[in-house]
Amino acid sequence: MWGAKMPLYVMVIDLKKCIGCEACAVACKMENATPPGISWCHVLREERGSFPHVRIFNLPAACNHCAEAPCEKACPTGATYRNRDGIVLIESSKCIGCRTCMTACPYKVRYLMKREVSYFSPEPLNPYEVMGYAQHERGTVQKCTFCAHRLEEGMKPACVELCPAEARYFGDLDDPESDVSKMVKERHVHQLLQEMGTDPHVYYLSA
Amino acid sequence: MRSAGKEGENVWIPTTCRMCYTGCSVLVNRVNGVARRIRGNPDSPLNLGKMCTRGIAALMTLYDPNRVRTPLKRTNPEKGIGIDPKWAEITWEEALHTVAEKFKRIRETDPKGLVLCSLDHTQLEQITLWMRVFGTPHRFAGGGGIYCGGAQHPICAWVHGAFTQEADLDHCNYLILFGTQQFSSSRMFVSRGIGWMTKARERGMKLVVVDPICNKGAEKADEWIPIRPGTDGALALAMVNVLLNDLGIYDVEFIKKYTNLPYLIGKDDLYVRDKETGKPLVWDPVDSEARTWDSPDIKDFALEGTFTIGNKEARPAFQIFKEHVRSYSPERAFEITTVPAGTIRRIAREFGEAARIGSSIAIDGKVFPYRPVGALWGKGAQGHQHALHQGMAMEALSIIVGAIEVPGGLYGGNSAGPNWGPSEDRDGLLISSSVVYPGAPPYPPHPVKAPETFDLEDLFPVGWHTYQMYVLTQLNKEKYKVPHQWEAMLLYYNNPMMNMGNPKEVAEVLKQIPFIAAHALFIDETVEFADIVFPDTFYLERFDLFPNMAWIGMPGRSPAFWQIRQPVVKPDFDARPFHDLLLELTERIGFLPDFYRAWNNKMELKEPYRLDPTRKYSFEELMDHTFKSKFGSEHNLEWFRKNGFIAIPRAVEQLYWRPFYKGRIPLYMEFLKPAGEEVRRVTHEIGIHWDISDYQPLVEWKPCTAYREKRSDFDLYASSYKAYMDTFSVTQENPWLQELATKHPWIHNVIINDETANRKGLKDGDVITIESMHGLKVKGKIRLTQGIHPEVIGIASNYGQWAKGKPIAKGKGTHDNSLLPINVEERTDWVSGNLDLCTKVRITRD
Repeated sequence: MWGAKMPLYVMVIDLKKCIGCEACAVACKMENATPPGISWCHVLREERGSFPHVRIFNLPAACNHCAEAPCEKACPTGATYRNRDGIVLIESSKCIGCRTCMTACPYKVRYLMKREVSYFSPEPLNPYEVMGYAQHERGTVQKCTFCAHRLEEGMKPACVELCPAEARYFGDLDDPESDVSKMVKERHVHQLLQEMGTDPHVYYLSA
Repeated sequence: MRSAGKEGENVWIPTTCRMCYTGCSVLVNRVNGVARRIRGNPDSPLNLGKMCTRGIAALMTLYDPNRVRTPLKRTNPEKGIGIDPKWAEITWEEALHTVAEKFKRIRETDPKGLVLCSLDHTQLEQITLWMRVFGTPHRFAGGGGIYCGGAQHPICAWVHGAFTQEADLDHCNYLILFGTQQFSSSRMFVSRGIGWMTKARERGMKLVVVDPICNKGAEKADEWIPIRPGTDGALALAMVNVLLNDLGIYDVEFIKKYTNLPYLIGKDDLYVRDKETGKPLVWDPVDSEARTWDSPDIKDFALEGTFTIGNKEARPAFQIFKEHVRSYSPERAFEITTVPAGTIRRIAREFGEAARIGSSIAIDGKVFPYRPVGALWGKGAQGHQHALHQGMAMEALSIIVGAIEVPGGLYGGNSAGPNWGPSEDRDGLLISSSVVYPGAPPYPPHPVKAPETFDLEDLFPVGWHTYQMYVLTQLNKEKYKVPHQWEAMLLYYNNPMMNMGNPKEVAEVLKQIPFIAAHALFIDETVEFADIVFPDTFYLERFDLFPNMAWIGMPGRSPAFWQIRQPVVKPDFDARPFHDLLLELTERIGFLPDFYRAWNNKMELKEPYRLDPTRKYSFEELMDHTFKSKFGSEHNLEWFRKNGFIAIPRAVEQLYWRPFYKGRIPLYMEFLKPAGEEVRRVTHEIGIHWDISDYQPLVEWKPCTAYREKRSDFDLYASSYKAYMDTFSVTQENPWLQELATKHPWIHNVIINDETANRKGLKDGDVITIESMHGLKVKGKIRLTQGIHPEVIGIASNYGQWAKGKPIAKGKGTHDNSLLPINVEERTDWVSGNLDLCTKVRITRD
């Protein structure tokens, strides 16, 4: 629509709230039916300090949907693109699976979808896997989509909806009234590997 | 694999989760006949639309191709760990006929010879009803003390009139967790608890976690206090001592009104009673007169002093208690616990000051005492030999500052509701509502007599879960002389081989049972001992009536709540729910009319919904009758299928009920003394030794078996902990959850403090043999961490499974319970029946 303002979707993750329960990781799996060994959303765990002053630091990580996405620039076929909502997506029909983008991504959150194997291999795919894996084009690179298919249905990404700590916020950075824009503006947020100039659209509130 | 549904179908169906025993309200998305997505039901006042890690993973258990798909018959008569049962596939008809014939004979000779082995809380009411009509009291729920812990329930009944307790995170400002990962990983409503805890922390609540391991419960704590296993009671009593004797911080009004500490105690440690009424006496210092505890003339209660009643001296229990805890100096507690004396004094003061004794708060227009602190404890802290005393020591912290059943403190789950609440006995002590304890609650003490059941319940007048006694009585038949033979077992949703203790001892028991029928999702370690196996449904394939356990309790100010579980998909093989199996067996054995009559009474069915004993009903019809009788004709099965649940709000007085009920908290456990004498008398009569030294009124810390182990090479405690991605022993076969466990640095490994490993010359990844003080051994791969007490090794509970029928779970991790003997009497808490979960070990590199 001419003149309609498209949203700029970003995610804010409050590390003070996150307890590292990995509900987001399983929620992503359930929603996106990623095959064994691949998790578009995962939680990195780090032990800090020494006994008895120990802290466990949990960092939920996924595609950062960078404004200056190195993967987009590296893709030789133009398969990787940013959509009108600021989400970095991959056009599977254009992807040749060359994995250049995987090397270019400093966050290592892109995955080559190989032959579908059941979680119960050597058993064949189960009905859930048959239905869920159908959305993945074999031999292409895939990753977190901010659950673009859910956004179209008016829902939030699965990891946001199912986070029991309500540590994840999702919305339009350009909407001054949105939670996320207020947080990014008013609170101390940081991005991963900020120094690389990728300008990620996933922001973190410090633990 | 499964028949395709309607093309283009895309529906969300409300049902009740079953990935743990909580029962969160969920919505499941069925697309063309396949359960494709799951989410929390946002309309549910229970879990508020939240789910936990395990609940979200349910679809992968539903579609696990390793599930039992057909009835099976054992063809190899030999039974044992690792012995192939040589299953043969049979028809439902053959399986039902075989089992019905066996059970019929047992019912005709001695129905008590049938043992039901089940831990399915969500069908427990129906299962126990069926058992009663069949004629057996024997439910072997496995895990005696392994899950909740045996001391939890008696103490929650005495203090809260409830089955469990939790902290009021809406108002609490200072919370101490002892050996529990509640609100992050363990116990009820993890789904909602995580967000609840997050909001409390955000609000500024200080969280202190006392635990040998810095696990999920401690990760976000303001302070992690590592402690030597089995010594939490000593720490708690030292804090009580600091509060009572050093700081003088305690809630005098609460103690006078709501505990039995004003009661006068004679030299015999018993209440001084009124000659006429037999009621305990208190001293009224205003009139200088002894009065019964409930006398309307009482002007005040003396808490200290020595008084003469008749010709006998008596002192208030408070004074005795206060003097008693003086022996728990922080310095002595440091020696026991390794927690520095300065830390003990500091957290005692912080806790006491945060209690804001004397303050009040208005909620919904009502004014309540405001005590925003809690000391909440769980399985880990009480999982030791003297469990009851450990538990009561920790509970005492919240009691003396008045933080019980008032805003900010601890409260029991579902103690009071729209038409129920606790009462009190002649002695003025709290009695739980029959809604919470449908049988006899843990107070008043039950009569003691020569044991008639395998759990020796008759010798545990206040005990609740004594399931390991099934093992002891079976392995020592001559000693305990239970007048029944264990003729058959019906196994459903329980895996005692994995979850009790040393599986070799459990295996000995299973081998002695002449006939075992199992209703199972998987051929697990216990099902491997079965003679007949029926294929079970997963929860997304069946109906269940009220799968939420009103008696256990709902979180926070949840309403009274009744929910349905209903099928989302149909299995493409002939799996049937357990209740269908029970109904089928009931008909074949021939007691269906009696079962219907019992159902009418149990469910309090009103006309015209009472069941006609001459008819036959499906389980769905039983549900329909029960719904309509309870909630009116419009609330039939179809209504519940569409709407999911009924919620009836609870008033604020039903949550913070302390000011509205008279029943007192027995912090001075006077009744234990006569109960113990009864146990002594009966056990003497039947000629068995029974240690009754814990039947004492004053709470005490006593060293557990591991603490007493002094051999220098057995220098480490083995402590198990709950992994947040698992429920009991049942979810390890789920590949999404197992993938998380595999990735986690701890779960499949044995964790050890860096410094301890260095001292022993061990490095990350070394394979070690762990030998317990009782000579039991397991192997494990070690993982170094700073997040564990240097005297402890940590093992994630219930990993290290070996059944071939669970290929995802098989061979991953180390089995903690393999280190813990069951048939060693001193490892049982002789009051609560709790089984000791910790041991000392020596480790050697392979």
